[in-house]
Amino acid sequence: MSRSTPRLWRRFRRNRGGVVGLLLLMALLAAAPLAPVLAPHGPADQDLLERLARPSPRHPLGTDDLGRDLLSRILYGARVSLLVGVVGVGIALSIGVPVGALAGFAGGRLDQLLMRAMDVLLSFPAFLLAVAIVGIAGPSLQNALLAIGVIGIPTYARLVRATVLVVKAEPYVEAAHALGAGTGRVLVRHVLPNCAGPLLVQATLGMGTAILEVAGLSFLGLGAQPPTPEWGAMLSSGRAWVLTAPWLLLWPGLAILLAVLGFTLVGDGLRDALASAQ
Amino acid sequence: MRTFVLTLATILVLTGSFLVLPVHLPAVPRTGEAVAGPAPLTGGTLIYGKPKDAVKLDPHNVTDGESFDVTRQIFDTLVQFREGTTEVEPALATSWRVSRDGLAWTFMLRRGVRFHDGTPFTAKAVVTSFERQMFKHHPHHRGPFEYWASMFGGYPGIVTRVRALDEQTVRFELSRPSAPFLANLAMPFAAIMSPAALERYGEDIFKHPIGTGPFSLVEWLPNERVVLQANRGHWAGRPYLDRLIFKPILENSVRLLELEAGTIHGMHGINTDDVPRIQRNPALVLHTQTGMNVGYLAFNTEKPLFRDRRVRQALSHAVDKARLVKGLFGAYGVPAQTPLPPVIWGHHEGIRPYTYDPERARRLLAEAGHPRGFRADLWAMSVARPYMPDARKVAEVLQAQFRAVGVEVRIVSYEWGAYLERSRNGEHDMLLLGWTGDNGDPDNFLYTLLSSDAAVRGSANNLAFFRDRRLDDVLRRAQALNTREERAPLYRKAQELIHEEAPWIPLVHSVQLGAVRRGVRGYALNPTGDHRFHRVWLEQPGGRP
Repeated sequence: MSRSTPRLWRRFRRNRGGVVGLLLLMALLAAAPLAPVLAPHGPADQDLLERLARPSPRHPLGTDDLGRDLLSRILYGARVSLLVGVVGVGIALSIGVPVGALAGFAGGRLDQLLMRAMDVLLSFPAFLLAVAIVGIAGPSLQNALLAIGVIGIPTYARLVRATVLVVKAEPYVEAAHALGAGTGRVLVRHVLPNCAGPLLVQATLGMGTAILEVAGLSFLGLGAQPPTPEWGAMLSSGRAWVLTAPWLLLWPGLAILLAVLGFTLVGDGLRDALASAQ
Repeated sequence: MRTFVLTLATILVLTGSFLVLPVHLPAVPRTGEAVAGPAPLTGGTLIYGKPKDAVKLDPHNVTDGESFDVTRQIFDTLVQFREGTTEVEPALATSWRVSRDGLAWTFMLRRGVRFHDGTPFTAKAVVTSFERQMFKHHPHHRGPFEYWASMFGGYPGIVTRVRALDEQTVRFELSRPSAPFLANLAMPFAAIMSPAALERYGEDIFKHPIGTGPFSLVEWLPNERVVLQANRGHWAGRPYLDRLIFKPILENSVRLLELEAGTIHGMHGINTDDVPRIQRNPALVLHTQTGMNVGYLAFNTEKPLFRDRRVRQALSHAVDKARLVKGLFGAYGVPAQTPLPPVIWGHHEGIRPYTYDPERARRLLAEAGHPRGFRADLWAMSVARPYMPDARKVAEVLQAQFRAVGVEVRIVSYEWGAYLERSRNGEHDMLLLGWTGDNGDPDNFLYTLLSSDAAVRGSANNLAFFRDRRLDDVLRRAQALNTREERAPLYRKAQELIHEEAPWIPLVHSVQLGAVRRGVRGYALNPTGDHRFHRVWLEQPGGRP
């Protein structure tokens, strides 16, 4: 893996979409930690006498219906979105990967049991399942993250299981077994490295999806709660002003669009680079 | 996910189209309508957009305006308010008299009136409609009947008996005199229902409302539409409209878009920021009415946290009411200092408001044992109300102002029916709600909303669950007196007590807003928040909205 990294980068670089995506992601990555420095106002600071102000030097992107600075909210929103992407995918990975590996290695009844459970999860429309989970657990950002994590599990489990099944039959794995390597060692040394590429691609794409899904949940009032500056929630509360102050919708909409686009382009770029690297 | 993407796309497209659409010019503001005009035309269908569907179509078993907006058209009351006022005039009763001691009210009933199911309206119907509400053991007493309890102080409360003297005469017997009694009978909960329908439908009566009103129910598709048709045999003459359709549309902005597009004829629930847009549009007419209402925050005084008066006073000092009202209500609201709106007699002008003073709030919190503040839930309605078009925004402002004194608030919302039910059970810490007066009497605010008689779990209208013996005593004494001159000082005293104890933060008295398309005539807003359609007519009955 380490030797192929420069080559991967060379191939990735040739993909123009991927590079644009990377730039978008870097902007997101920069905005999140730097929000307190860059933001001209606090994200929850209200100025009720300056509601729905048009973009101006004082409020470069205008203000929302409670007089909060939109630029500041968008910047702080980047933190929430990044957190959502990382944690959402993290939950899915940390459960999905072991489940997939276990199912693939153990085979038999356990495999059947685990994969049928994954099928059950997959058989629900993902977003509906997330709405159901949040509906039961109560609307909050944490629960939305949990829901997004849960609905991501089967994707990773299946991915890992498929790779395990292929690798398990490889002669070198049998050789390793014959040499006395335990299942754990085989898994870590031989199987997981083979999954790394596809998992990376899937996780990158998954972060984009997670952001979009949490934005969707927040839009429905099931995710981030006020005054958290979450883009989907901002979009939702800006809906009422679609005709009078369209910038309330425009900026969070654009932010979601660009963030998700960034992750998707990078994910696609990675996939192409990996495919051609092999 | 796809729905979200679609919504997003729609929003972006709409946003874009706004940028290229021409703006209506010139701006000619229009408010209300001239009284004189052409003779009304008969016929046509009017579609009216409202924020939410009715919870039930059983006026005895609901308390919210969204339900009453519909039941008002289907049911009549013994007496009614003259349109646009709170003056009582005859309706199903043609005349009445009260005994000298104020304990017996006798009503002479209108002859020849029939319910929508064809059965005749008689004294028995009046008796059944009231007994059903007042006696817990009555076979048709199925439901909370919270309005009755909050108006008359329990079951049966101060009304001990309703008696049919003959087919056309009914007598109410009271255990103590009640000055607002007559006006109470004009309120929508005092609707007269067909006893035959009660027998026939039992617990399902809320889906099959049978009254004597100007319109009868054709169909009710919950959350979709309520279709009513003209009662051609109504005792006060048939309504001009043939059909009246109520269409619930949750979002204020979407409802307004529909009005602009002409898919509905009229609506209420208007964001104050949208008012200029309505005034600019030559196809629309804006109606305004100084509301007989109050929007408030109630502390649940049953929760240990809010049992301490200092905590309630502290938060009262933490709210910058002037800024809140100016920012969110603009010209269509005034800050409230007492539960009683200034348009009602007995309003206390001299209440010294809790000043906006975060420092003092923090000090009071520290004294009460919360030097570092605390966490609590604040409930906010998800539905536009006449006294608060967007409660969640009000909640967000309060959240920020409370945070400044160290109190962290989580904003909680439920579906409208659940919101009312849970709050009646006292599940909240703090909640936003409001009240539109039904009868122009201070009793209808102060006793109904803050007496201990109205603080019974499950049927509470006193959502602060505030129980104060001094206040109860003042309010009951005021009920028993007859003239305004005698009662007003007691109500002023009551407002002082309430102010001092701070079970509420009274927030705003707001101006009611409504809008109809040009060509809809006879539409008017009432101080009671009623929307009546008996005398509404269309200039082009055959046309589409």
